[in-house]
Amino acid sequence: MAQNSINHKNPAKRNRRDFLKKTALTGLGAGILSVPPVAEPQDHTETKAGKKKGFSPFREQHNQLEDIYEIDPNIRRMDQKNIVFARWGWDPKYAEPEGRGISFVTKMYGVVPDPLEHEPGFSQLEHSLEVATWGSHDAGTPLSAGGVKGSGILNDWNVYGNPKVKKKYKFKSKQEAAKLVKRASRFLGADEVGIAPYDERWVYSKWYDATKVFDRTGEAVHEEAVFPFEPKSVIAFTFEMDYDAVKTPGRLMDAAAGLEYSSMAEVGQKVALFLNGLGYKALPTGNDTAMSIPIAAQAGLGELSRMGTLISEKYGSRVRLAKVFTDLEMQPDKPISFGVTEFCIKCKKCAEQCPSNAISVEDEPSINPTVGSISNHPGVKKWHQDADKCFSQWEKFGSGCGICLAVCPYNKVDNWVHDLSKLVVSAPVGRDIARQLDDAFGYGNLKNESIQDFWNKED
Amino acid sequence: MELFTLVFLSAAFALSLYYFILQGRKNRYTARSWGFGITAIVLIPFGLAWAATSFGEGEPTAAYMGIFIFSGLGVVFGLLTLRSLKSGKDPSAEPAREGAQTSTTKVGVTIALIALIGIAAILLPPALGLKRVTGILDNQASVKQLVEQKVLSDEALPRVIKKMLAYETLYSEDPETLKERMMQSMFSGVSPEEMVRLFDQVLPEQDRLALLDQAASSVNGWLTNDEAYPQMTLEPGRYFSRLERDPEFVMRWIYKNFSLPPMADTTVAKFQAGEFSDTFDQYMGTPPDSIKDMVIAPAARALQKQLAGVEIPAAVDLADQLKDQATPEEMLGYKSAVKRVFGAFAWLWVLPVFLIIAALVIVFMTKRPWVKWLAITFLCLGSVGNLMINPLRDIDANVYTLIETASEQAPAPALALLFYITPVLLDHVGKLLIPLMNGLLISGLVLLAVVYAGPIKAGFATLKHRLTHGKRTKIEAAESL
Repeated sequence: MAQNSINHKNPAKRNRRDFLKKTALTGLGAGILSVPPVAEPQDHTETKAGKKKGFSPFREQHNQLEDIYEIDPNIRRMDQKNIVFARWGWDPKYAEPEGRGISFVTKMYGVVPDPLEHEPGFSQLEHSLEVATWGSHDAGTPLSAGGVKGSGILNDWNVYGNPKVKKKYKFKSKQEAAKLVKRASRFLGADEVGIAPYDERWVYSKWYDATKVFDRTGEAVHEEAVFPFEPKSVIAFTFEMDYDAVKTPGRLMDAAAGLEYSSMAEVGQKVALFLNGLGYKALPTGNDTAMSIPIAAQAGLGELSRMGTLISEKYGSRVRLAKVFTDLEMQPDKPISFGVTEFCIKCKKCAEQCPSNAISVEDEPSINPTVGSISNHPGVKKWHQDADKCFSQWEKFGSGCGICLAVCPYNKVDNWVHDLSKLVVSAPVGRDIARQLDDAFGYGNLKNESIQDFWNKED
Repeated sequence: MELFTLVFLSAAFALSLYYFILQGRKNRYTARSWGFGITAIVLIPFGLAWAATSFGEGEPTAAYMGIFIFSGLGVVFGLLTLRSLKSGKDPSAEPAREGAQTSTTKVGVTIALIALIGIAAILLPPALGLKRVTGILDNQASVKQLVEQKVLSDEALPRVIKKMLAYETLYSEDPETLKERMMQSMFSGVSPEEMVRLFDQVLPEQDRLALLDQAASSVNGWLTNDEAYPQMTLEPGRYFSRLERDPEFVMRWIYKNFSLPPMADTTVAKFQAGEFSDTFDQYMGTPPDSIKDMVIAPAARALQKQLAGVEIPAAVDLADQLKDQATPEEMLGYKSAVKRVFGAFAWLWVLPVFLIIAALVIVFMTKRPWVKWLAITFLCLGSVGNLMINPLRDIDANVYTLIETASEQAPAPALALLFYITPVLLDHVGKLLIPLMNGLLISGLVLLAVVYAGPIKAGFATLKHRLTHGKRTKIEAAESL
């Protein structure tokens, strides 16, 4: 009620600000918005980050992303203005007065009643939990998920880019620096950590900030992307989304994402503080500043999938990504492949289950997009998705949609049964039958019972 | 619990393997027996462990599939092991084949019997279900009662409308304009009581039920007479005029029930100055309490003006409308098709019953043990039937799936009706079929027990003997054979 009354007093302002905040949801559609290109050749010696990754004799390490994905040598960096959530600031299709963004946000924040409120998974209970999960993100880095850099107290570049400690801690080697920073990051809450070399290709060519448009205080800021210092390394993180929530129809899916966006905000800031304490500069970033997926792939955290998201070897599609740019030079990790592309060629489950047909059903990935959305980023051989169609589903739900993540056969809980399955899937023969087995064993169905299972689960 | 199960299964696996190796060494098993046996010992507990883990994970289908595929395969290998051991001990145990031709004929008849019973078992549940459903739909009174209770009553209609709006949101293309989307959302938030208050103004329950009577008579009459088109006249103008009659009520209702954004400051200032507009859009914002009463009357006038621009026919003849859609010949064709489908559904049950009778006649003519075959028939009908009617045990979940499947083809109102009407029909079907199939299954088991009463008694006697006197000697065993 209180929220409604606030909205009645100044709904336009509230809506526009909130809707940008809500772009934090980007994560679910991040792959669709812009799955970017790949990395420079590096000579890495250290193995993967994290010690808990699954074992597969079919996993390969590569020296550079180009060994896994074909990348146009003349690839152009993406302008952040063109990602779907930035388009809320200027594209009539998304912006006021008739745009989809407004419609999405009014439902998400209860300005108008949610027609789905009585549908399974959309009740006030799930809605409230969903909004709660975004708490730390919205309070600490309110616009990060929408792609705006340095927003909020947890992402303040002026603070973390200018450490008070001037004496730099001397690591014995780049390997030791990587090892200790990764250990610290895991301790501070990241589920997986990898180090990527700084690669400008993944940084947006221009940064876009529509805050003033939403506040009706001025024009959007659209500026050349220039870091306040020269980054040497990027620390990439994955955050595991709750399995029980992800596989549930309705708003709990978005709650799983929201919770990790909050973790991203908190952990990114803590890792930045850790580096600051050692005398190094650090810029914590979520979805903003640069494209997370190629950086995470470059850092050996996983492989690119048909739906455009990263598939982590341990958590599958159930991950959210964040990264910290720093001037500390560390030994980078090597990109890995474990059969995801080959499996995605055959599987197509995400594309078949996508309610808005936003995911490509083409057999093979391609360098150039086969759909005509300006939110696509050509130049990497991958499956290109239709971000506009994807967001149309978000608007219908009044919530982030993650059906593709939920049905992905890589999305499984961590136990011996699935470790064994992953081993089979990583083998060339196993990939051919894995999709059929996944269906036959009843996985990837969004069942209403899972909503009750979620709420009834005991610790 | 899962850990306990896995430890227990690991122990069972280790003991089985140990025992098998001991026996194998002692009895000099062949390589094939070793291979089959160890595979069986590995697969059976593996399937059970898979199931335990999958149940723990909340994936029952994966659990059952684990048992079915891995443990099932293990059982097959176990049987192959037993066969291998048996044939290894006594290679000449295969009885000489005599009368091969007669045997082939017997096998052929047996296969034919099993095929007849199997097809009947598959056909029987849907045939009986369709008969039940057509029986309900063919009865004008029961259809009216169903629609009245589940769709048109004051209690049901708000639910149906909300469900329709939800499906419109989920499965249909988005409305063109933001305003339409907002109205759709806002109407979905109106309380059932308030919806009924609006219906009472436009089309109260008794009028709706009278319309239902009229529609039911019209459809029924169309199906029984020779007319090409159903005869029915709707009077939308009459209902619309009710809306126009009291526009102030409508405005008060809108301001009370819709979360309209606050009225613009400039508009409020104008209204406060007494400068009221006759453009309805000017009033589509929530006025401050201070001017709300003042605004109602001019807003109602603007609404009246808006409604006056909408042309609503006083009466609509359904037959005239349909004439534009289909020729008389086509309509008669539709009518005939409807009758044929209903007739076919009502009598489809005859086919499986005929197949069962045919099978039993063959049993009788080939002088087979009829009690045994009756038991097999009942068992087959009961078990296959129970599998087929399984969705009726969780109607709500399956209707939800059905709606998701149909969502791309059907419009939202049809999906909403499907949501409220289908469970009732399926419930009627379930009440018929679930006890019937269980009854057939139990009858089959009882008859089977009668047929095999002798071996069962002997088995119990052997067991009792073992329990009281220990393991039989080889001589006793040989004597019993």
